[in-house]
Amino acid sequence: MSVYSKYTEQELLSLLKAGDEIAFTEIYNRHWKFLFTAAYNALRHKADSMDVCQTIFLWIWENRLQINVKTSLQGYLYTAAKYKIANLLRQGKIRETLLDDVLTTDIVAEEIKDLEIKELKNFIKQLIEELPEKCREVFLLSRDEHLSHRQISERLGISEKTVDDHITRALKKLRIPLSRMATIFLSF
Amino acid sequence: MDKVSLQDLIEKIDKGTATEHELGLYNAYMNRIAPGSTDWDQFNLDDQEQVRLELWDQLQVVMQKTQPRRFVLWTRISGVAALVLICLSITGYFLFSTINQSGKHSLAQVNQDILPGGNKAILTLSNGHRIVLSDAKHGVLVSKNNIRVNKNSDGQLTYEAKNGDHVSNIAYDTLTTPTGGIYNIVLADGSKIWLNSATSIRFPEIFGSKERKIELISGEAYFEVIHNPFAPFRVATPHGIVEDLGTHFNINTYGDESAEKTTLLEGSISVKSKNQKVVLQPGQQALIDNKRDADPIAVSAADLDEAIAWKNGLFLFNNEDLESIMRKISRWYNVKVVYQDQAVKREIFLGSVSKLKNASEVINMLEKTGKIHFEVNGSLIIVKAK
Repeated sequence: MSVYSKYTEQELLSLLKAGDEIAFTEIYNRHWKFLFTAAYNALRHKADSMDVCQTIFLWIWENRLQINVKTSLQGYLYTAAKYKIANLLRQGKIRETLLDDVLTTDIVAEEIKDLEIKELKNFIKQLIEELPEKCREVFLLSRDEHLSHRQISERLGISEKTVDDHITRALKKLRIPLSRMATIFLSF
Repeated sequence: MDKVSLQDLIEKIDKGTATEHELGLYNAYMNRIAPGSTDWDQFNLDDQEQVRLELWDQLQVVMQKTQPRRFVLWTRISGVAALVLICLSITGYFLFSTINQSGKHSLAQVNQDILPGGNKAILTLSNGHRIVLSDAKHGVLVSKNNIRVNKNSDGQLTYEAKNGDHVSNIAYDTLTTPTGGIYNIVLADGSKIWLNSATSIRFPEIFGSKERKIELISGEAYFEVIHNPFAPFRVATPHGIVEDLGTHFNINTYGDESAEKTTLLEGSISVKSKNQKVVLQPGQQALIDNKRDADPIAVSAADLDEAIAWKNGLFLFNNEDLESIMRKISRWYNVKVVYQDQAVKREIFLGSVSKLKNASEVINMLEKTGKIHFEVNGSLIIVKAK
């Protein structure tokens, strides 16, 4: 085993931030399985599940400088996976029977875990921070100050169309679109 | 909750307008919908190691797109790359035969045939750098203060330790052959390893003085070990450890076979599983069941020719069932095999054929027995009863 296998999560994260590819490999090796099974449990589709994992790991690599893990790396990656899977749910990629089963069961209060919520909030915050400056400004005005598109356009002195564009762009970015690339590679 | 409310909830999370309670609810539902686990659904998914590599390769491809200079092209399992390669060779072959006006091959025939594998592998250095050995020119590939890695003209990789330089931190490299690839390597201690297709080994660039330990991650390899009583040579496999006592031996640990097979040709080795250790005599074979590797190790007399036929460039089937034969064919020709008739899997065959032949010749040979019929569709082979 390489020395990396002995490193703690914090050590790996610091190395990752420094652009260390072996640290990234180690993170991948430690966590891919948990994420893959999470996706596979929901999607029951190998290629889609691999897509989810690929998006997350690619995202981690590209945003390594901004990553701010509150709980554990696994928790963080899992939060990202759930977020990504939720968006596939909207595209009808999740089995109906699974959804019916899950939705009819009652979620009890204890299951709502503080730490996981913190991680989720933190994760969303990070997604927003990544948006281009103007786009983020528009998005936050709409979300936090509940301004209408017209009000935003007046306040920032830009057209309503531009406001629309920024919001669309922000929402699209937040949904971490599926990489087409992967689909092509997997269709063989 | 119903589906529409869940959709709304997700929408709110996306827009960032969800309350704390809603965030919690969303999280709890997603935990139910997508529970992560460390269990593996072997039935519906391929071999776990295969998926790990496939996903990793795919990731390398997209990462390479975003960061062009950081990654060496990684063509290992990528179906596309293999397909492109095959297409290129077919096109080349076709053009060549047209220019020669030989007229022997119709386009249809050439397009149909599947070419055999060859010397192909990927070397991954300890720093993550990858070298595609089929492309790399021969000569010195790596030269560091304590080792030199050479690729010979005949497709052999050689590690040479430079004298005197001992480092405390041993670097590990990985050599991986794709489906349809084989390779051989001489380690820093002079021991030789032949890798069959779809095989991966991990080894130190130089060995420590107390032990020489390498890892056969998956696949099949043949070892000719230079014995050193002071530094035993150990091969860690997915199901055990094989320790040489000066020796030639073969280990087959493909995940899709039923057992991990270690065959001793010369010398002496011990095979250790989870809770047992046996010492083999030349000509013996030890079997560790892939699914129940805590079971006692089965030792039997081995067919030595059969065990290392692959290394000698042969398919050798000695009363072997069709399913097992087709697994070997799919690993060498990089094809997928499906059965229209399940009963034919148990048909037994006897015979041998060179691995340098195209797939069609091997298949014709099997067809001649009159028991089975093959249909080739691209890189898919459909097996039918006659």
